[in-house]
Amino acid sequence: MKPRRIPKLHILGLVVFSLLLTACPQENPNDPLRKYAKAVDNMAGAINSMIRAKRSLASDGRITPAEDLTLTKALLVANEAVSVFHKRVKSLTAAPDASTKAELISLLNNVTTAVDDLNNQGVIGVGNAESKQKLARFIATLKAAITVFSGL
Amino acid sequence: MDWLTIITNLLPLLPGGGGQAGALAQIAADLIQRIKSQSGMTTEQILDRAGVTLDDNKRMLLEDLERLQGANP
Repeated sequence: MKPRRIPKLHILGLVVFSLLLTACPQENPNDPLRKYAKAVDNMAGAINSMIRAKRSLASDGRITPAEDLTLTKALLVANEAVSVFHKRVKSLTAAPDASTKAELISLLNNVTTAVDDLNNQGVIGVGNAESKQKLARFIATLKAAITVFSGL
Repeated sequence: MDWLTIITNLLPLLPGGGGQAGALAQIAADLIQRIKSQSGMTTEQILDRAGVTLDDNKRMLLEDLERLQGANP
């Protein structure tokens, strides 16, 4: 008797469902900083992923050294902008008041500009279409993390 | 956070989502796992990890910059 195989689509559905259950818990109203912490961690993680992806693509010859250099410079600026934002979020001890929100928005604008530059100068300039598409997926992750702060 | 956007964007890089097994699939899987692991961490731990990662990112990028500028002065 042939062993019964589970269709790939069913496995994918289960993976997505499991991720949504674990990754989307209700935020604790007594910890208003948690969603900011998670978003900053996601930005840091997405930049780290993009560095590793760029290294992998470069070692396979799927991006040129010049494209690698442009991406590296733009990633450094984005990482620095997120680092400044991270330091400010880490210094918060309570939900931000109006003046702190204004400060956070200003710092976040720097992050948004840096990520846009990373996309416009770095990713869009990549000649290999497949590499460009893959790198764009990490840009989308960064942008999704930034949207957490749209309610500031 | 728009978790669905993040996961939807990364899934095509995974073998089960249409991508190919390899370095990029592993990188995407690691990022999903990182996001997933936040549910078992305190806010302080999450912020500390983000700080460590940002420092690590800077070190890696400066290494790359030195290597690439050495090759393309």
